[in-house]
Amino acid sequence: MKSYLSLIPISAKVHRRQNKMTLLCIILAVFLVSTIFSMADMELRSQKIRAIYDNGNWHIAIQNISQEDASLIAQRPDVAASSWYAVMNYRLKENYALNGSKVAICGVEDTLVNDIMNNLGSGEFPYKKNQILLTENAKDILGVDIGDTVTLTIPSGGTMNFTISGFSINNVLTSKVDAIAVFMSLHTYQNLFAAVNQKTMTDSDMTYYVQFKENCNMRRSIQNIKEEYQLNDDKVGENTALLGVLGFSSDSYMTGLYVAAVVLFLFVLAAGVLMIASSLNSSVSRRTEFFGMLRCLGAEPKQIMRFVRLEALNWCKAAIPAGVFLGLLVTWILCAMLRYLSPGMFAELPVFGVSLSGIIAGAVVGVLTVLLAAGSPAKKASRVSPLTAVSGNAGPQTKIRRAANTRFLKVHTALGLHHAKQNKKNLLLMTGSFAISIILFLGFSVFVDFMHRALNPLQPYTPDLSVAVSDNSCIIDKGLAQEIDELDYVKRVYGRSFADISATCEGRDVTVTLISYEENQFGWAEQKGWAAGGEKLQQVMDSGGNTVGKNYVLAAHNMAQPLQEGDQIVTDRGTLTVSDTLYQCPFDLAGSDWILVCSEELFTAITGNDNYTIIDIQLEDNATDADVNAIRQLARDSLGGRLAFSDQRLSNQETRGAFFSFALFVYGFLAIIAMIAAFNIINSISMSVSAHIKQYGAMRAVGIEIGQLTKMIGAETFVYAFCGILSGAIIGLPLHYYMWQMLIASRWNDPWHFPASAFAVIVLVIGLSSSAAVYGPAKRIREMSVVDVISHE
Amino acid sequence: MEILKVEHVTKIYGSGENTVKALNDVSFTVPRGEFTAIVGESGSGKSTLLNCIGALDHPTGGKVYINNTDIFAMSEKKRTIFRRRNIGFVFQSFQLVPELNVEQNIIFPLLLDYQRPDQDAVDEILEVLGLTERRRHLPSQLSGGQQQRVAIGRALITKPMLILADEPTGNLDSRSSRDVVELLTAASRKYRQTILMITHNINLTSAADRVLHVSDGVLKDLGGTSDEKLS
Repeated sequence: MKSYLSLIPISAKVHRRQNKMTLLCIILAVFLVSTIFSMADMELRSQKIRAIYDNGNWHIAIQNISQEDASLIAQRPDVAASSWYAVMNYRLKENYALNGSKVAICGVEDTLVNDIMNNLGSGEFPYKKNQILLTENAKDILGVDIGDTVTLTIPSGGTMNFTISGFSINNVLTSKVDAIAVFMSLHTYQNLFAAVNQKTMTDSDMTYYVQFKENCNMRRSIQNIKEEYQLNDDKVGENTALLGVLGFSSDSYMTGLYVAAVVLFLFVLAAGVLMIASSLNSSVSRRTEFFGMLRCLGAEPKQIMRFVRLEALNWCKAAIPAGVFLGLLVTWILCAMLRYLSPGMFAELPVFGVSLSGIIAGAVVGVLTVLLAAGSPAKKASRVSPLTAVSGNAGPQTKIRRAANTRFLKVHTALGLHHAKQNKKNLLLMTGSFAISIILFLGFSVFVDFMHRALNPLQPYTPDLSVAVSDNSCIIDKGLAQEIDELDYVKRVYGRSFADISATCEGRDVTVTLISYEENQFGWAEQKGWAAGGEKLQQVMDSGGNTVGKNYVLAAHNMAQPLQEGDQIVTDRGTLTVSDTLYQCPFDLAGSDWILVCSEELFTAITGNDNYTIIDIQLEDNATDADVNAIRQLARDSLGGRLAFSDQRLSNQETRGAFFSFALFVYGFLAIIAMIAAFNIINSISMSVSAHIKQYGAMRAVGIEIGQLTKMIGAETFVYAFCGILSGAIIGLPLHYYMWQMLIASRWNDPWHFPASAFAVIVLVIGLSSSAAVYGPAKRIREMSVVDVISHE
Repeated sequence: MEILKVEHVTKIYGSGENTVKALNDVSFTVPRGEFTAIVGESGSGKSTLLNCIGALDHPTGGKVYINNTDIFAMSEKKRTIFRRRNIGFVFQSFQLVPELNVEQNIIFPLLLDYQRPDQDAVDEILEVLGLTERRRHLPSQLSGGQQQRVAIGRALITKPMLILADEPTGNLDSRSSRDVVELLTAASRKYRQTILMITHNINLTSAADRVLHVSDGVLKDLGGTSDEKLS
């Protein structure tokens, strides 16, 4: 031994069992912090991937800027890449066609494809004159490959030939409308522009995209560019989603999000400090006699303080790596889940990704909280009188001022309550550590409401493909739907027919939009709770137009002029009776008075039309692009040039990915908080029991039963849980309100409501953990012999 | 009439080379109302013997009968209740509940048994112990001697057949020690209670009816008081 501090590792080895709980507490605190930081880091990474996937990796888009200014901006040290961008027929309204298929045409620099959008799939950028790059769906739609020549037809009817230099990755927009995007060099584009518009292209016809270097202060750079080139806000568009994820958004809503993150971070820190402080406090209380002995042997109070602090830091040696590793493990599981749930979007996310910020936060916060938390117990230990060692009077250090009330309560209950209340500081720490879980849970639970408002999960009726006619005519033969339905890789096909019909309602002339549903769609309406279902729905489904009796329909909810059950709409071919209201319907009125939903048979009977307006298709998971092409071909064979085909797989994948990543993040956070709360409660009660174990031993000798002892510990735990829930609610509910105002009310204007389910969940977690916390130590005491308990140190 | 019968009790700690025989085939009986002192050096096994008799510890072999009941044949729960009702304990370090006052500590075993204490009996015990004035005091407000008197009161309140006292004077000065032993003797006489007391202090055995000596786990009956034998 070189110094008295060498006693720390020796003592740690001897008291391994007693220290286990303190160690566990530090591990939990570090785990909480590093997991939350790692998860937040991974969530930011996944959101960044999503933002880049959706909009590209650019930060600002400047309009009306001169070539000179643009080249000066490109030279700035904070700019990583920049490119001019110009587009024709973005909305596909004009007749630009490539080998007959509609196209949007973009003039770009190579940096846009290679660096900013990073969407080059195969081949190379079209550097040469008359070369073009196409989106990959062109391979399927046009049956072309690199090196092939294609003919572009412009609205005037003129044609130009181009050679394909490569393919870019498909994007959501082109897939959805089954269109092709054509990329060409600025030079080629300028020639095309001149040919189409009969004039030379100017700088004002282009947009200048800028990507900043990752480590620069983008906010400052944007401001600087605006001032230097006298650009007002209208001229500088921002990629809000990406800047938001990177922490540089100027959007007030995003700023609100940052503030919310800081508030929650402070609570997470407080949770760590409270957990560690309460465990160190218990550890010091348990060893009062030992510190008395050290004082007896001549240790100064300062030396004792140093001893306690270093001892706490010594625990960090094992606890911090363990906590950080656990945090990483959870993050890996999360990343693996994200990759599994949305493989297309999150393929770039590393499964075994290491979040440096998570590790650093866990380690730094671990050490800091341990030092911070050790302060008070260290002072307490330094104040231990040497007399405690001499007298052996190492009982509870708290001065008991009042006896337990055994008049109204059973003695074990009275003692349990007294144990909880006798040490105000301990009660405060325990209450705090219970309350902080509630506060954190309530605070984070707002993100669940946020998620359900900001991101829509895929509905059961969302199709992967849709087949319609460009002018929405009701001419798609039902045989086509049947033919597609018979394909192996098709899970489900469901069609709808639309027709606007003239009718009268209570003597008034009206126009109603009649929409046919088949059984799948009626089933989803019932499943989502939009229609009451049961008999009322059944009579709508059974109405075939030629049956004796009424023809029932569902009336889409129309706030302005609601239809009631039993209302009748008279058409030339029969009377329709409203059976029930359909509270949500994914169609707009578009000029008619009401939307009525009926069975296919009734639709045919009323309109005389037996065709579909649209066919929606859901594919099996193993369906390939070739399968989609086969369906497209079937539809084209049936509808020819009037086909409006929509491939929504990419957009569904994006929606699913966005929802999953956020849902995993939010529910993961809540699960971690609940888990930490449970562990912390179990550990805290266990430590509290350890502090009283000698007393429990004496009581057992006197004849207390294990059941009575369990009730005693239960009463003590009840006080902590009750005070914790009460103070958690007092602080947590205003925090929930504040977060609600910041995240939800400010955007959707929804009024705050009491978070009953979140509150119930966390109270249940606390209740169950408290019960578990009582039985563990009781079992431990039962398994120890009375003699061991009395002589327990 | 025998109130306590110890038959061939052995207690072995550890295994293999580390085996320690704390009690080696100990047998003896104690009749009702007798005040027996057990003496022996530190580590001789006397506390182990007392713990086994009080059902605080399990003997490795042998049987212990209290009032003809084999205490180790019962379930843990029944044994606890039996101990609460029939055995009183007095420890060297008092082992009072710090959150209960003097009176509450004394009636503690009754409260655990959900019994309503007989106030006259409580008052009488407080009177005998000289604690009437201090009945509302907490243990921390009492001297060591007073705390031990409370512990004796707690042992007496259920009117147990057997009182086991493990070094009851170990933490007390000589005057308090004498008081405690006198109290125990008086209780033994007054309530015809059987007392088994471990002590280091040979002087205190003068009050005992019989002295047992434990050495290396082996018990010897020294008959009358230790003083007589030793002198």
